[in-house]
Formats: sequence, structure tokens, C-alpha cells
Amino acid sequence: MEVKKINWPGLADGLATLALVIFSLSYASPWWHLTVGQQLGEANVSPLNFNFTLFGASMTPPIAWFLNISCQLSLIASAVAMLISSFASNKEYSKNLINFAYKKPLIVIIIFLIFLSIAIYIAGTLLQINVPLSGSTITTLDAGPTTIDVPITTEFTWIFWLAIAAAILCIAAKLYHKKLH
Amino acid sequence: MNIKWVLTAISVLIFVVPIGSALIVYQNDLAALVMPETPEFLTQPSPNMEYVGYQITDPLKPPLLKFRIYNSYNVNLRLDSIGAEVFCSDHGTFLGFANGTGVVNVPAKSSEVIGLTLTLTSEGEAHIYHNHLGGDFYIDLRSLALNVQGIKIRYREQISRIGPIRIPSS
Repeated sequence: MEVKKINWPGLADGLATLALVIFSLSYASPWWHLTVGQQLGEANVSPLNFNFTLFGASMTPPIAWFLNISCQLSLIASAVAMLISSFASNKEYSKNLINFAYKKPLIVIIIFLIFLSIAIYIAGTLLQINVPLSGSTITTLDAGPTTIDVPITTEFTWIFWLAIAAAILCIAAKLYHKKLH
Repeated sequence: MNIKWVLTAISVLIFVVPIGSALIVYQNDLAALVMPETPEFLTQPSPNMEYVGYQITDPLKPPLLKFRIYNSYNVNLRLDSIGAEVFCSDHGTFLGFANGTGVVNVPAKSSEVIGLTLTLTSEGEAHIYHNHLGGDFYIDLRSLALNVQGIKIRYREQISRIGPIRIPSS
């Protein structure tokens, strides 16, 4: 195998995407994290793993599990295809593999951001709970005879930025593949 | 078979199979697929409190009010602080403040007795001395506020006629 023929951005992307899947699944590392009060509620949100607990009760909709499976398979397939195409960039099928793989991390990130934005919008308009995309806020709720001030903190984790890096590497791999041929 | 079509089929199946499975599993209740089960506490989110009694450890000091606080949630709760304004139920006179004696941990699905120390103003002391010494009296708690692990719960309504409390005349 000629070293010059290896698609280096593709190789880096394949490894980054596999790392993304491993971190997200093995260590349940979210892309976006929400905390309610001091450990009274917690949402760990990523396209690969989602859970939301409030006062010890699970608030995770069942559809999340099915969407997570879909995104997990998508990213694993993308990583495998990208790794194969990187080492076999001179083969005829490598272009097909690159085309199959390069859009998937980007699509997963876009879907994640759309769902996150919709969830935050619904929380703000229907439930009157202001949730920042990143940062801290105190939202005030009227609950029966009481008024409740709830501190909410959210943040994007480094896993999210790893996903962004993987998506950029995907585009780079596609461009590098064109350059090789 | 053309590899392009195989990869396209994989792309489609990756999304269709999980989503299709979800729709089949939840075909009789599609709303349950997207809505999590609503926990009971969402309809009654504030912890319940019940007056238990009072304790006088030093005749020269105001009584310690005791309340039982119920935790209906599945997690242990840490009550960091509790405080309220105290009024005489019969005369509406402002007597002072009631504050928790410290941090209290209430186990999940359980209850705990908490103590509230009364701090009377000089007007409050004088009111009790002139109107209720040696007899029973009742108090109202207004502007009750609890701090539970960073969440502040403020009661808009007062808790009325807590008692009877008897201040010994000697």
C-alpha cells in the first residue's frame, strides 16, 4: 500500500467518528448537558444516547431510543466506510464509500441541532420554561399555591466539538479524495 | 450488484428499520412514543408540610416549631434552608421570623421532622407577653420560602393557625 495513496483526512475522520461513538456509548458522554438545580434534574443529550431525569423520574420519550439506534448505526457505518475508503483510495469503489460516508456525521449534527432547538422552543412557548442553548438562567414557574425559581444550566460538551471536527474531516476527506484522483 | 445501490440500501435501512420498529411497537399508542410518562409530582410539584408540634427547651426563649416535611420523589432531597414571617393569627400582629435550624436531608419517598426557630421582634415579644402569656395562641406563617438543592419554592398563601402554642407564664 502506498502511503501517498492513503486518504489521511478520511483516516482521521474514521478514527474520530469511531471515538465519538465509543465515548458516547461506553461513557454515556452527552453532546449537550442540562442541569436543574443542584442534581435535581439532568438531561444528557446526544444523537447517540439520550436520557432525562427529573426528581429521580425518567422523562425520556421512547422515540429517543429508536432515533439513537438509527444515529449510532449511521455513524458506525460512516466510520467503517471512511476507514476502508481511506486505505483503498485507489480502488474503484472508494468513491462510492466516500460518498456514502462523508455526509452522515454532518446530517447527524444538523438533526441533533434541529431537535435541540425545537425542544428548547417547545419548553419556552408551551411550558414557559426558558432553557438557554448554552449558559445559565433562572426560570420561574407557577405551581399551585407556590412560585418556584428553578436554576437551569446547559452546556455543549467537548464530545459535541469532536463531532464537529469529525464532520469537518469528512468534508476534507471528500475534497482530498478528489485531489488524489 | 452495484456497490452504489448496496450502500444506498444500507443508508435507507439504517433509518427505516429503527423508526419502522418504533411505529410497529407503538402502533396502538403513537402519542406514548413521543411523550414520556408524566410523573405524578408534575401535578403537585411542591413538598408537603404538616405541623407536628412545638418544643420549649428554655422558658426564656421562643418555642421551636416542628413540622413534618414529605418527600414524594424518587430521590433524596436536601433542604438547605427554610424561612417565613410569623404573625399572630388572632390579632394579625407581626411577631418575627421562623427559620430552619440547619440542613435537613429527607430520604426518597419518606418524611422528616424539621425544626423552625422563632426569632421574635421586641414588638412581637411584647404582644405575646401582653396578650398570650400563660394561654394558647396560634400563629400564621407568611412568605414561606424553601431552598431545596438550589431550587427556591415560595408559598403565595399563608399557612394559617399553627398551634396551639402555650407560653408558660413563669
